[in-house]
Amino acid sequence: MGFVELNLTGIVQLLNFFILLFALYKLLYKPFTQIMDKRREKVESELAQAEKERKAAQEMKKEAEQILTNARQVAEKIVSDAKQRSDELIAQAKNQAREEADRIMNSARAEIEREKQQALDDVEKKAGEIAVTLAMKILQGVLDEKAKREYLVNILKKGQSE
Amino acid sequence: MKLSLDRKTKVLLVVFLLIYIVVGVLNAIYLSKQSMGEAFKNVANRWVVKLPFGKGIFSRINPLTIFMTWAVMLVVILIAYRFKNPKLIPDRKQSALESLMEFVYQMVEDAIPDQRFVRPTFYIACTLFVFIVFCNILGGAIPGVSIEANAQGNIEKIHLFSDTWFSPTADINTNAFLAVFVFLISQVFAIKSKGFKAWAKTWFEPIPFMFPMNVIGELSKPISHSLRLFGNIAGGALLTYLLAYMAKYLFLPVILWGFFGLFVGVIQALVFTVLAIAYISSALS
Repeated sequence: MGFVELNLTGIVQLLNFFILLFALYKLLYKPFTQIMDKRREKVESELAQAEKERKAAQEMKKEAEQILTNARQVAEKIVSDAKQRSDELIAQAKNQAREEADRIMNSARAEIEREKQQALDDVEKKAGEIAVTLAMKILQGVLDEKAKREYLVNILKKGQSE
Repeated sequence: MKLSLDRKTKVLLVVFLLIYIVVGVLNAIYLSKQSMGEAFKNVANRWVVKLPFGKGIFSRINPLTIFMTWAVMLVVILIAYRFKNPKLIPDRKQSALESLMEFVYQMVEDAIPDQRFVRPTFYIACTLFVFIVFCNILGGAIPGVSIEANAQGNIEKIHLFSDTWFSPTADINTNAFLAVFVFLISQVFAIKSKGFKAWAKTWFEPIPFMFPMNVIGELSKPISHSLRLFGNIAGGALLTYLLAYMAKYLFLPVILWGFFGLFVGVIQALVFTVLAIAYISSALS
């Protein structure tokens, strides 16, 4: 029969094709499109999750940076306070030392003054004694001029050495 | 790729190959005695059965085309059944199948301008590709059983492994009706997408005078679409038969020719599918 003959076979073939289309739709296309959609959804949700986590991490980083900045500020404040305090302490100590020095100086000066006074008193007393003794000698009139001078010198030397 | 077969499959394969070789050799000895005229007198005939009902051409049917189609359908459905429950993380075989489907889907997605028709077109295109590729490989690359009919369409001889299997796409009925189906579905999609008025207007563009040209242009699509596949596959089958005769029915050259049959089969299936997508796309745009 003819090599190129259209007959009922074509309609049967078309029916066969529809059956195959239906079977493949049920067995292959539907499950595969479903699984591909599921896979796409999974990838998208995982990407969204990753984005969310990235944002959270960024937020946490910002927070940590804020905490670090605060800590740095607090530390700076502590250091500056401590410095101020130490400056104050140093100033206070310096004042105290100056006061103490002044006090020591004053007491030393007073002591010197006192001792000077005492020395003057002693000299005065000694000079009095010498004058008395000299007067007594003069009164006694036993001494010539030379002897008087020698005697006076001796007394004076003695007084000096004492 | 490493092919791993279990023991049972290996035994079955060896038994099949032994039967195949023995039958092939016996057949070759028997057939090699016939003359060229005798061998080729029936190449243009098809086995046709007249049905008790119907009239004219509607009472005639080509049983071999239908049987081979059922065989192909069975194989395709069995393969599809194996992947009925696809895994979220695919194995190697599932990946291969997914790659094929992704390939067709990508083609459809790139070509179809209306998103609503991407999936239906994909179902049609993918089924066309799978069906035609299996038919073409069966008819172009695998030696098998073929039937020689006389001028009245009755069976004259049955060839065992001296020729390739008969491919359903080597019958114009299959190709023509598939092409007509593609043409009709493209028009249905176009009406759905644009609306009837806009669709009807496209037939009179750019000027109403062009209407007959547009009709001829559109009607020539299914004709060229079907004849291209038919010519390639039926011609390929004739060449295989000729080659088998020239090699005195030793099937080694047929197997070697089968490599070309394989490539031609896959390429023609791809061409038919791409054209189907292009026709639907052009109707929609």
